[in-house]
Formats: sequence, structure tokens, C-alpha cells
Amino acid sequence: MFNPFQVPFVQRGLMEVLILSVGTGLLGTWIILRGLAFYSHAVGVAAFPGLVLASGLGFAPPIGAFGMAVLFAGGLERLARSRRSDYDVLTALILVGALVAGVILASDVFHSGSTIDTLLFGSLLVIGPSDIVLAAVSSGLALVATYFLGRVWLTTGFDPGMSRSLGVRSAMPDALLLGLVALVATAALSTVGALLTTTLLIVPAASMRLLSRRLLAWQLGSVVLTAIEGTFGLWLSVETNAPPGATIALLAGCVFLLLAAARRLRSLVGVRNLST
Amino acid sequence: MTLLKLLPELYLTTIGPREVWQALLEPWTQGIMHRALAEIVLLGLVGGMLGCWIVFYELSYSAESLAHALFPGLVVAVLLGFPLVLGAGIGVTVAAIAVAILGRAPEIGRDTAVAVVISALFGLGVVLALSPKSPPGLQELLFGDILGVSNLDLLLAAGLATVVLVALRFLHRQLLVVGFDRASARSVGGKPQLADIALLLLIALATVVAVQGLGSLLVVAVLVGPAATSRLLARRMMPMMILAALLAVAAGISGLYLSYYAGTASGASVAGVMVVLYLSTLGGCAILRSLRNARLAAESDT
Repeated sequence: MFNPFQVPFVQRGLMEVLILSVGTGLLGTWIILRGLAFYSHAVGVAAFPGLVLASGLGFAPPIGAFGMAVLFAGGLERLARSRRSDYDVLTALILVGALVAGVILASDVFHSGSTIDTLLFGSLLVIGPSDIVLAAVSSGLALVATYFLGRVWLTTGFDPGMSRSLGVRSAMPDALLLGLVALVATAALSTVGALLTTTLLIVPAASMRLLSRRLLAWQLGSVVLTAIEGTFGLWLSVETNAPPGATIALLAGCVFLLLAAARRLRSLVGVRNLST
Repeated sequence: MTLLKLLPELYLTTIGPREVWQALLEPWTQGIMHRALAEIVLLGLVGGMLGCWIVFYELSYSAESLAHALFPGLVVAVLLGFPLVLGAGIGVTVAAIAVAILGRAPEIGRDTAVAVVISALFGLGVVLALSPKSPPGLQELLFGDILGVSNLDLLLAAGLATVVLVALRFLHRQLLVVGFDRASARSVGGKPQLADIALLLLIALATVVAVQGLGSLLVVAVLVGPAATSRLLARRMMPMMILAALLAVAAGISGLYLSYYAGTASGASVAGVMVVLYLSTLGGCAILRSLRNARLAAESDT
């Protein structure tokens, strides 16, 4: 069963996923606590034209991707400041704009239409040593930031007004959180693709949320679950020849469904026990 | 690239009214473009009108996620060879049920539940579409193919579009009352739950109409773009809806022209025009406002 893992490029992919699981698992819990799901989906998609430009003009893909992601986050913040209520309208439309720009650049300017699938859904074959370095750096930063800023993120998440009165200035840590999500999403792009960054960033953390109530247990559990789902997703990807992003997404979705169903069943049984 | 090649010729020939007419009419000499035009008008009317309610109720993320999550339905329709509209309908139903059930888990919140559903269903669709036995054509399902619409697709889309528009006519007062003030809506005969469910159903139907032309990834452009643009310009609901429909159809036709003369993908061109329209209107409004503020400040100084 584990034959695929003897092939060098699969081993590289495995290493990448295991390192990434630290950063994505940790940040996933903050994304859920702070309600940043739409943002983290959009920041990955926004990187798509950056990736196309990078492959067309021949510079390092993470530079293009992270550049576009930061441009998106900054532009959204700037544009939405004047009209607070239009935040999700802007996110949706900039997201579509990024997809349009990417697909037109790829198919009509650089004529690299065949790479679109790879960029959108990830590929094991494109993971190089530099991707692993990027994954290690971003996971390390996520770990350090969680250790030092976790308290602040937690208080602002529960009650922004209260935390300000306690003397926490919320602008800087929040900007750091948004930037970190953009960085980790960029690092995850080569494996899971621009459309499916949420499979590593959100789904495992959401699954673990169903099981654990304490923050530390939840975060450790998310990291472990991301690593497990990533490993089996890679194996499935080699076996079925589908992009790793898609297989990990499918697997993680099934795990979530099973956990949700199990919990529902348990609570039904619990109710019956109480009533008798 | 094709556009760049055309440019010298454009400069060399003298451009009179006759040439402009010719350039405007030329695309419509082919049957394939007639169907594309009909599809654009249908999705423009439905997207523009319904879009005003999507923007008003702040449902952009739901609209986007439904369109993404129906993707496996499209893939299955292609694999089994039945009309795309039917596949989209089944896909959107599964997605809506999944969101409705998972969205009730109290710990994770609605947005997170939506993200989980999109990721899983999208992954499923891609695994199906890229399995070695499947025919190629993944990108058409993702980004749409307005030029590939068949007569049967068009008829089904027209039927669904009529249903959406008629429903909007009858639900107008209900949606307005609930959207304006949810808390006191009951006292004037509003039913918030009915309005929410009806609106989600209509979004699902409109997505099914538009998904053929714009693909699973770009549908949200027509559902949100023209309506958001119109909201910057109009205040009352009825004029806003009519303006949004007009803008949507106009942007759609411009997109078709762009695609015809620049040789770009049709769905991406239409969606691109709608996004650019919104962003430039937003920018224009901001400039006008700052000019007016500057003038007011200057007047108050003197």
C-alpha cells in the first residue's frame, strides 16, 4: 500500500504536506475563531493570476502569488473602508476579477492554458526544494505568532470593544494575522492549488472543532489531523492520478461529515438516556 | 495578441460611420452568436434583478459558494451525457442541503460550514473530471462557454428564468419588508423565514440559468456585479433592479464583442467587463464624493 512513498517526488510532497500542516493547522483555528473563512478562500484565489504571471515571465511563483495576495488584502481593506457594508460584495467581485485575469493571461497571452488545472488544483510534480523552505518558514512564523499573539487574537475575537478597553491595540495584531494567512496560503498553493487552499486551512480545523472544546487541544488536534489527511490524500492522489488538492479536499470533507454525523448520533443517544 | 495585430489595420483604414456599423453588426451574422446573445439577455435579466436582493441581503458569499459547490453536478452531467442544466440543478440541491445541515453546527459558524462544503464538493468534482476515463473539457465547466449553448439548454434556461422573474414580482413586497427591518417585519405581515428560503431557492435557480455561460467559477460576476454597480447609482429598489438588468445585459453584450474581436474566452470576457464596470463606478463615485467634499469645505471656509 505504501509503495508510492518510495518515489522521490512523492517523498518531497509528503515532507511539504507534513511541514505545512503545522502552519495551516494552527492558523485554521484562528481563521474559524475570527470568522475569516471567506478571506482565506479569496486570498488563495487572488494569488492565481500571480502564479500565471510568474510562470509566463519566468520568476519565482511564490513571489508572484504572495504579491497578488498582499495586493488583494490591501486593496480590499482600502476599498472597503469607505463602504463597510460592501465588504463581501467587494471580496466576491475581486475574486472573480482575479480568476478572469488569470484565465485570460494563461490562455490568450502566454498560451499556457494547460497549466491552469495545475495552478488551480495543485500538483505533486511541481513541488521543489524552495517550496519546502517556504513551507518551513511560514509554518515557523505561524507557530511563533500563535505563541506570542494568541492571547491578543483570542480577546479581540471574542469582544473587540472590550479588548480595546483592556489596552490591547487591535489594528497591528489583526494585520499580522491577515498577513500570515496570506503567507501560509501562498506556501500551500503548490500542493493544493489556488482554488483549494481552504482544504488545508479550514476543513481539518473545523473537523477538530467538533471534538474539542479547549484551545490547545483543538490546535494540536488540527495539526495532527491535517498531517494525517495530507498523507492519505497524497497516497490517493498517486493512486488515482488526480491532483493532490482535490483528493485531500475530498478526504477531509468525508472526515468532517463522519465526525459531524457521529456527534449528532451521540447527542441523540444522550438525549434519550436523559429522558429515560 | 489578436487585438495587437489588428491595431495597425484600424489606423490605416479611415473609420467612418459605415465601418463602425459593420464592425458592430458583423458578429451577429452567425447562428452561434444568436444563441449566445439570447443566453446573455436571459442571464443578464435574471442576474441583474435577483442580484439587487443578493446585495441587499448581503448574500454574496452564499451565492458564490452555491455556484462553486454545484461543480460535481456539472461533471456528472458531462460524464453521463444529460443536459448541463439538469446536472447543475442536482448539484445545487445537494450543495444547498449540505450547507443547510452543516450550517447548524453551533461551534463552527455558517461561513466555516460553507467553506467545508465548497472544498469537499469541489474536490469531488475535480477528482471525477480529471480521472483518466473522463473526456477533456474541465475548463469549460469552470469558466463557462457561452458560445457552446445548445437550443435545448436555451429553452430550459428560458423556462427557469421566467420562473425566477415571476417569483420576484410576487415576492417583491415580502422581500422588501423583511430586508428593510427584520425585527418589525412580522407586524406588517412579513415572514422572515419564508423570505430567506425563497431567496436562496431563487439564487439556486438563477445560478443554474447562468452557469452554462459563465461556468462554476464566474457565475457570481453576473449575480453580484451589475446589482452592486446599480446600488451605487440608484436609491430605490425598483429603479435599482431595472438599471441592474440593463447594465448586466449591456455588459454581457460588450463582453461578447470583446471576446469576438480580441479573441479572448467568452465567459471570462463577460465576467471581466462586469467586474471592471463595478470597480470603475466605485472609483468614479469616490472621486466625485471627494470633489464635492472639497468644494463644500472651500465654501465653508469663505
